[in-house]
Amino acid sequence: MHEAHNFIYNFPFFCIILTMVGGVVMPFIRNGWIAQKINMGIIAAVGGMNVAVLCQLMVDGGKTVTYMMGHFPAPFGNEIRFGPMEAIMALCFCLVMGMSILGGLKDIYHDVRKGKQNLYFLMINLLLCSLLALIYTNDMFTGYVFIEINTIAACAIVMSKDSGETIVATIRYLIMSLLGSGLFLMGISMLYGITGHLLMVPLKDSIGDLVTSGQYAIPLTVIIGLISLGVAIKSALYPFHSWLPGAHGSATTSSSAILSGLVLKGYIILLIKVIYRVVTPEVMAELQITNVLLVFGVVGMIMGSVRALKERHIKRMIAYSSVAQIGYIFMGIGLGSTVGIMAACFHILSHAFTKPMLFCSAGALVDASGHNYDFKKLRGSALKNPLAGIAFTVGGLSMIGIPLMAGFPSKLYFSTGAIQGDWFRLGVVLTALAISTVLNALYYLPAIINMWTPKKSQEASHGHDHGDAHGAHDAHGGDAHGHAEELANVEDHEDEHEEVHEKPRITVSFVVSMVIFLASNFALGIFYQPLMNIIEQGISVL
Amino acid sequence: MGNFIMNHYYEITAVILFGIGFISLLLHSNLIKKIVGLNIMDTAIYLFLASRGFIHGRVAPLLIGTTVPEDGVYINPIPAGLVLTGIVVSVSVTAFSLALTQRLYKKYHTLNLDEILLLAKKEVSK
Repeated sequence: MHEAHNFIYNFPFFCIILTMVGGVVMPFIRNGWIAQKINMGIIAAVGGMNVAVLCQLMVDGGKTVTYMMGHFPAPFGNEIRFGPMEAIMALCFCLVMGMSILGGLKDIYHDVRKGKQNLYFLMINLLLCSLLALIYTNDMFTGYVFIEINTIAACAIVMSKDSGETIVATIRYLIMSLLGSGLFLMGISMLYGITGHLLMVPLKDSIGDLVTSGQYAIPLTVIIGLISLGVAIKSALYPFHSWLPGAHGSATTSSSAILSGLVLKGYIILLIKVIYRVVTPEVMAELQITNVLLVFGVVGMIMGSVRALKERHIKRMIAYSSVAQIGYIFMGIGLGSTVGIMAACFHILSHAFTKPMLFCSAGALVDASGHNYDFKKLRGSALKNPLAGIAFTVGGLSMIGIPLMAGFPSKLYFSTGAIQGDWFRLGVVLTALAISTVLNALYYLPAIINMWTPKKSQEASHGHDHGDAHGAHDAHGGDAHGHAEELANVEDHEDEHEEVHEKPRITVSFVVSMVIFLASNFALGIFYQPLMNIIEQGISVL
Repeated sequence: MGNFIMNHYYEITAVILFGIGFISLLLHSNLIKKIVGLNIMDTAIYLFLASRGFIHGRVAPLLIGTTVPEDGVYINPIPAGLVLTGIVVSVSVTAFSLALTQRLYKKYHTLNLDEILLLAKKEVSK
């Protein structure tokens, strides 16, 4: 508990306020292009401020700073509290947010109605604001309020495409989210009822007292269960994932990328903070909640991949893969050890850098193949847009866990965490990791091979079929012949239509976004040790 | 047991209401009923907070006159503040879901979510 004297320690609060003000300003900027530029400026400024905060924290020896809002002391005031872990999470979230928008910029202008595009960026600002607040807050009820803001903003960026499909997906997402936040709020209310605190630090003390005195044992279990369940529903842990493929699969490219990469993680970071700052891992283990999370996580890892295997819609396949990855993160939390949580935090980052890259490149590939989402029809699309192809390949291999890429160190640390546990956990986790890796390979590799295979052979057989059909028509004489000519004309038109998409216009923003995503993916995969040290330091002072 | 119920009837009512709201939000296929369920669920939480926050024989922390009364007279004002914040949140969420429902009704001419899902699936497969 250090008093904040350094000016830089005001920055987390400035970040939250800046994004919120940015959101309020957006409706007055009619032009979507200008709105996007302002939005990128805000994201860059917030990212820069987080770099400063991280550097200052590391210079000061990796401590945690408590920032009292308005200098009101504990029972009445609201607090922001941040250490190295929060700073690095916020920094990465800003980076991923900016790159996701750049990567799907073409689709935003295509999918969102003209004149409403500024409102899309309003929602992006609110989303970033609520994510930062979830990362930085030290107050349970503030956490709840920003969870709701996050929900509304996330639903709004799903429905921005404004087709029947996305509105249906949004309402399903909204209903499940509201169930989750209702449970979370009930948990907080009960917690306040038995402890009389909402700030995390006094809560920890009074929960410690309750546990040692043995009072309120059942309510405490119920409360932690409610909070965990609420977070699990909102971050799509396996049996509660039903809303995810629709919402992530039908939204516009950037929305899918941001939802998968960031929104799901914001809640998990809050849960990790609750575990460390409020409940303490020992109490979690004592109440058996870590074991429950471990089981759900392991089931999610496998079932998410199995469902992804069956999927033919490319974006829904990537969405199901997110379900599996959320399973990984909950498994890390469920290990109950520090290494497990470290692995979970690292996986949050590696997934945050990989999944948006997959969604953005998939969006570009779909664009290159004439807006076809079917897996089979994407054949050869990577040859038309090689950069997107490379990004998808790297993303897929990273998800499988090939060394040098971001997915590998997280699997390494999950295994390390498992080895430190007892024999039962070791067996379960290593088996699940092995099965899940094979399943990941089973659906990513065919997709990658498919999109790099030239279309030639298929087209040849296609043409042959048509030739036969023409022959049959000729046999029928004049009328039929005319019909055949018509058919041929139609075919020509279709060819022309395809040729329009033959050379997709690769925009500068897409190139920038993909290059940065690729670079950070390899950076995470190769130089993971410094990042891991920061996370370890951050967790030790959390 | 009877004594326990008599002493905690507010909390018990709140939890029962929460369950009713939760189940209707989860299981009803009519969108309006779902939203009503959401409101019942939220109201149950406010009942819980308000009842936990009130202590018999104490007054709201307002200074009347100039004499400062001794400790133990006032009620902690934070639960009331939480209820107010919660009401604001639930109003905005309700408005958002009603707007979505209206859009869906204009598009599909039904409020039944199961039917809407079927119609949307057909639309996509076309």
